[in-house]
Amino acid sequence: MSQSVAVAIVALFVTSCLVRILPAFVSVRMGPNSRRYVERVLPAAVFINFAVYIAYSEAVREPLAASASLAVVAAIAFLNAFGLISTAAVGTALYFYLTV
Amino acid sequence: MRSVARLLGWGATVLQTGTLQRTLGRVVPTALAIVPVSALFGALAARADWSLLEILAVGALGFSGSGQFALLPLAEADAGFFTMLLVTASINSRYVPIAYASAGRLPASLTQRAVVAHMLGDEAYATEHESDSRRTVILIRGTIFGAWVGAGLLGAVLGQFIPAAWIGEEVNLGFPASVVLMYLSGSQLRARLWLVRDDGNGRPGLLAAAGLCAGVSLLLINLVGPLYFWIPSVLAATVILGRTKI
Repeated sequence: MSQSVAVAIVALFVTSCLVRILPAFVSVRMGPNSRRYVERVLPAAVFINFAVYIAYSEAVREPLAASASLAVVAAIAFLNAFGLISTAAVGTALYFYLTV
Repeated sequence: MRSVARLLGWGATVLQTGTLQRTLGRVVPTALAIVPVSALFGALAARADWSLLEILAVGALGFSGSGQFALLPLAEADAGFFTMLLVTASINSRYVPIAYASAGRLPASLTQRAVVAHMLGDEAYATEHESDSRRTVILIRGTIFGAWVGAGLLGAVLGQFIPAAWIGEEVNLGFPASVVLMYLSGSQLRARLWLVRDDGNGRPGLLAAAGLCAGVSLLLINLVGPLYFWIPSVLAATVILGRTKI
């Protein structure tokens, strides 16, 4: 194993320990309002940021195709119109159709 | 031996209750969507002279899509440990609130808790539900983790047979994974912001707050970049949504 690759692997593992494993062991006694924040408000905040980040990072690459495809996917998901597989197929097909 | 017996007992219970089929039905489409992304990483790493063992190790111990891609050129440039740590920690800082919020779904045993926490990914978090049992969470995270690690190896092997143009900038192989994550995020937001108000009261306010959060997020991406916006943006969205009746 080359040294630079080994360093990269260790850096990623230490990162995982810091951002994924360590927070899973942090225990804080919470009241009802704090529980509401952790169980309901924080996850919703994270998913809004996921959506914005995906839309931004893909739109930078292919503005029209990515925006149209992801808008359709988000609308289908919010309306609960189709399942995951069919939506993924529609969104991906639309994107590649518009980029050709 | 006791661990093996416990694992077999767990498998039998899962099969009997039909949990396996239901959970796999939820997680397999997501796991399949990340296969091209990880395979692309494997192919690029193999072309950068990473061995199969190194690709296996970075997938299993690192388990970070954007983090792995970011380290490819840094490893080639012989960057130092702290430079790499700073880059990967910045990219993955979003996991801190996610890991904390989902900690209640993890096994109690120290080792299992650490392993399942390590297998946390964006797709797994978006697939899991609040009501999922620990077994379901292990199955979801394990399936996605296994697909990621396996696809990296597959990509490394297949990479030598695939034309270079296919794994260059021309074809966006990561788009299906973005589509899946967008769908899962939309579904989660529907459940958390729309269906939570059965009576319909407060929905316009919630949607307005969500729109404001999205605007702040976009503003922060433009101000500090897509690497560093996560923590301030999630905190801002938490404050905004906290003032609503969510």
